[in-house]
Amino acid sequence: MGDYDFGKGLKKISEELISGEVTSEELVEVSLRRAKEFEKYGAFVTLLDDESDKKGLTASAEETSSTPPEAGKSVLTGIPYAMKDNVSTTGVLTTGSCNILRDYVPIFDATCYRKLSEAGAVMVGKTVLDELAMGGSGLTGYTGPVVNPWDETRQTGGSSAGSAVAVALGVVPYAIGTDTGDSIRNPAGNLGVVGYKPTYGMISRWGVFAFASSMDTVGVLARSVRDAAIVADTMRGRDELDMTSYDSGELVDGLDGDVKGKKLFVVKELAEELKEHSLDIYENYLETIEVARKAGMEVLEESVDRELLKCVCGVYFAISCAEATSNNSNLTGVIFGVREDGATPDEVMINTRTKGFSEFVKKRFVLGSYILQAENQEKLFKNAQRVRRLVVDRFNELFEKYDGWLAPNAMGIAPKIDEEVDRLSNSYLILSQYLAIANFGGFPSVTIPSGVVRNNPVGVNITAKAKDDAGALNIAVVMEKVIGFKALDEKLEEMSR
Amino acid sequence: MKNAIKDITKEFDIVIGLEVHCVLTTKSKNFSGARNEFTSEANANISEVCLGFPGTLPVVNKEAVRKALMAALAMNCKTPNEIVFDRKNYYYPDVPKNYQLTQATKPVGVDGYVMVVMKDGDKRIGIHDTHLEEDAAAMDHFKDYSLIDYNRAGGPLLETVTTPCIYSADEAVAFLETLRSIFLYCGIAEADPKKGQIRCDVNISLKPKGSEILGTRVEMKNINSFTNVRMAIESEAVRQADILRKGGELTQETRRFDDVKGKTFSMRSKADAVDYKYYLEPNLVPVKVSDEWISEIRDEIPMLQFERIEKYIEWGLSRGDAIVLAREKGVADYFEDIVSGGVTVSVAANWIVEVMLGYLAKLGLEIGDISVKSGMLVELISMVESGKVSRNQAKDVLEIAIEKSEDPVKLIDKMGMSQISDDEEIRNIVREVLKEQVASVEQYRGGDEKVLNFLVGQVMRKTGGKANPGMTRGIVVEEITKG
Amino acid sequence: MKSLTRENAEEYAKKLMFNIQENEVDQLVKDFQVMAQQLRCLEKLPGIESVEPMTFPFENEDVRMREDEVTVELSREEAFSNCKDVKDGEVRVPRVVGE
Repeated sequence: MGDYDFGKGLKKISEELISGEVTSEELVEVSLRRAKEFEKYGAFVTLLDDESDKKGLTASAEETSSTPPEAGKSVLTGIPYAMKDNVSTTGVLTTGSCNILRDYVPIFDATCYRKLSEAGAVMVGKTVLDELAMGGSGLTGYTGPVVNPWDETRQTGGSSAGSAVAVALGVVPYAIGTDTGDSIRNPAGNLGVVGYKPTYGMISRWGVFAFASSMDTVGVLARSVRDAAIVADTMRGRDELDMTSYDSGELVDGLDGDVKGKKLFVVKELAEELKEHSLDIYENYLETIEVARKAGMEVLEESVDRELLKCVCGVYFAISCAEATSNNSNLTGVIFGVREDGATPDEVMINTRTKGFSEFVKKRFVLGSYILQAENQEKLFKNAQRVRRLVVDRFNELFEKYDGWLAPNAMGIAPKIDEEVDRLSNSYLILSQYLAIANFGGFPSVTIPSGVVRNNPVGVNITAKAKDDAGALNIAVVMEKVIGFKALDEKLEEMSR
Repeated sequence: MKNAIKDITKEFDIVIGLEVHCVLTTKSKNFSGARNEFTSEANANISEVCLGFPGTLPVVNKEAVRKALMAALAMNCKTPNEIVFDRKNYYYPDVPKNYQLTQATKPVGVDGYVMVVMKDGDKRIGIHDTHLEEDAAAMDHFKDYSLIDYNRAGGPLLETVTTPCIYSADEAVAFLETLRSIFLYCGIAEADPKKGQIRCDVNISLKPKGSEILGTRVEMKNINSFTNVRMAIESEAVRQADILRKGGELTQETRRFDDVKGKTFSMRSKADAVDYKYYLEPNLVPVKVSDEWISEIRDEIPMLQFERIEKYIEWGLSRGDAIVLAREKGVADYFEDIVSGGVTVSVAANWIVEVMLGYLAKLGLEIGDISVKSGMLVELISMVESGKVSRNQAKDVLEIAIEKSEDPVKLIDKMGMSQISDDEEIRNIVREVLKEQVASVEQYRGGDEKVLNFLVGQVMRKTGGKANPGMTRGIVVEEITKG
Repeated sequence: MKSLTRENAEEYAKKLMFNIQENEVDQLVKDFQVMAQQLRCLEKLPGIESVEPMTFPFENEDVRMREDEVTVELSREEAFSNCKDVKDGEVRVPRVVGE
């Protein structure tokens, strides 16, 4: 079979499968072929093709995609997708893009994976992430950096780098990612795809490697908001294995495109800082504000204390590193993972962890541990938790009056691979981590592409109050339509010539 | 040892604090659905959560929480408004996640007390807190390697911490026995030391007698029997006193008690205190504890050992008997049942303490396991009181009934056991005996009262034990006097 | 509050059961200084001490505990399929010191 455009959307693909225009085997074949064709972008850790089948991993993707989907079973039946490699998949290597786990094969399924499998979705591979989901560049996975197809001298962003690239390259129509501070939304914006981080707890975290448990969220990267909603609908639901999970309502049902009378706010301080820092992205941002207005929504300016905004970076860093240190203390090689030798159990653990972790995560662990130390906890960890509450309270206040927060997705286009950033400049402090506010408060947050600046995609982000996923998605689906982003389709076409 | 301790207490006050770990009785573990059961097969009761695989999450066991709250209430503690847990971070091969889930922020019980019955009066032991946590794995050590068994890992553990208000090994052991009795009475734990279900850390320090300032504290971890707790306290007190008397200084440290050698040894572990970096477990969402739930749980607590001892003493029993009867809830309930069945308190106590418990011990049975229900014993006792059977007969029948799982009253019929209480019948046999035992009769007439027992015994032998002993005795005396 | 320095950096790492190289230490100390500066912003917020620290992003009104049932029974083969050293059905490590 020739090529296949996964950009046509899940509903259309499903219709074609049901009508017999195309078979699942064909779709999977296209997917795997493209994955191999685009190997140089380094998006995959594991591909479920004959090769991996020969290595003794579970049935290859081709084998699992047997029967054609029946109408009404699920839109996802028979359609290939990619899974971030920090999500447990029985019998399939799950590495967290970390050396210590380079041979780890889980014996149980993550709930989100199980639900997709039950719907008949076909996983074709596990995608690269920043090691243990702790980075935001796409460069720190142990298999090597993920390459940005828009500009190979720039980062993809992360940590769901491989998933974002797999979708952007048309290898799969959607991929699963995780978002703790912006790990779905950041690469989505850089690569011109949709990135949806649901409300915390909407999708069970059972089986998903923990980074910062109070902020980790499973989400979707896709070619459209509707597709992201369809996938999230399939994965969501209260799970008795995850105490933080809850039952939300149907998402796709609520996508009626009716946003008349909805009110959005923009944060004045962010806009000002953006204008100073990247005028062209600021202008794109202004355009998207107009798009919202054109769609019938009111967009007003609100102010958030600059001093509070400057803290977001530190709060995110402190809480995520502290939680991560503890969440990864199980990686010692004793029961699973690579194990180095040692004369005592301590030595075994030390040698294993020294070799198995990169410098990058080791630094984070040390800092996280420092933050949790008894004598520092009050000033560092607890203060970070206090400011988290202040930030969340402020935004909840705003969500009382508004249906959503419209934010630029980033302060710049994808950074150059070895870009030096002054992490203490005002700009950095205010603009670098504000998307994490959605993780602080568990808010649903959707990033959609809003244009191209200096040959790279830029995006806009819509965040709503906790549990109002339908609201956020509805606003996003409307804006997506008005924006009419075509650059990715064009790029893919160009790449195929 | 007793003398050594006596000497020590002349000069010093021994101050002890205990941390008792007890495995709760639940079907599944504290944070996962793995089985919680004692087994000798290694790694038979494990789950992904117990092994700390990446991506696993804890979910708290409602029954473990209920039992922990019950224990807290039974120990007169204040309970929290919500259930939350903390991570206690430290690296050790028996801790799969290298952090333990415990409660440092809001224990299920704080500021309570336990009344302990002691020979020379009751003592009130302060409970600093009691909290729910997860157990570690078990390790077996060999020459070059250690093996890890995760059966216990993640199991529900209740840790009870006393204030440093215990002043002797006797008090410590009495407290442990009381604590165990509370757990058994409430049905929340088996607390069998042989199964490793109850373990104790002992903190001990010495200070000059009467001084306000506490001495240097030494911790002895994981002592696995009450006898060993006694030995550990006494040997450590001796060791510390020795050093102090020579003018030396003690190091604050953790020591290991060797039960074979009978003394403590310094552990080769790190000198500086470990910083556990406690913080709230983000995966265990706080569960509100309603007043209704607390009331419900409180209502389920049976009258406990201490109160029962007081009650039985009020009823007129001796302190010793009261203690024996109240030691186990099953026995206490049984005793109270037969009293409410109409048996006099002293008679009931006698039957349980002097007869029943002896048989149970001999046959290796628990009172809850036997066929002889309290109602049957009430009937048996009334048969004795009305003279239908002798007390000895009844005792024998009881033992057989217990052993063969029968109803003693029915057995009496079956075995044709009944007492001969007919005067004429007994008198005839007495006369026979007196004719045969001329020498003994002479002895009796000569003033030897004791030989009466022999003569009565002869009558019993001739009647196969059925003659009413009281009557027999009287009739023998009459006949001798007559004759 | 004790700072993270070249001298104590290795000690911190050791407590986390790994070693860091000389060249890693420098970068670590630099990162620490940036982090410390960023966290100083937090202290500047007025009234911060009286705010309740936040662990959970929002209240979960319908939180449920687990019913006390056995729901998992792993076989040893499964459980230790990733373990590099299993002996007699138990995980083997070098002799633990001090016990």
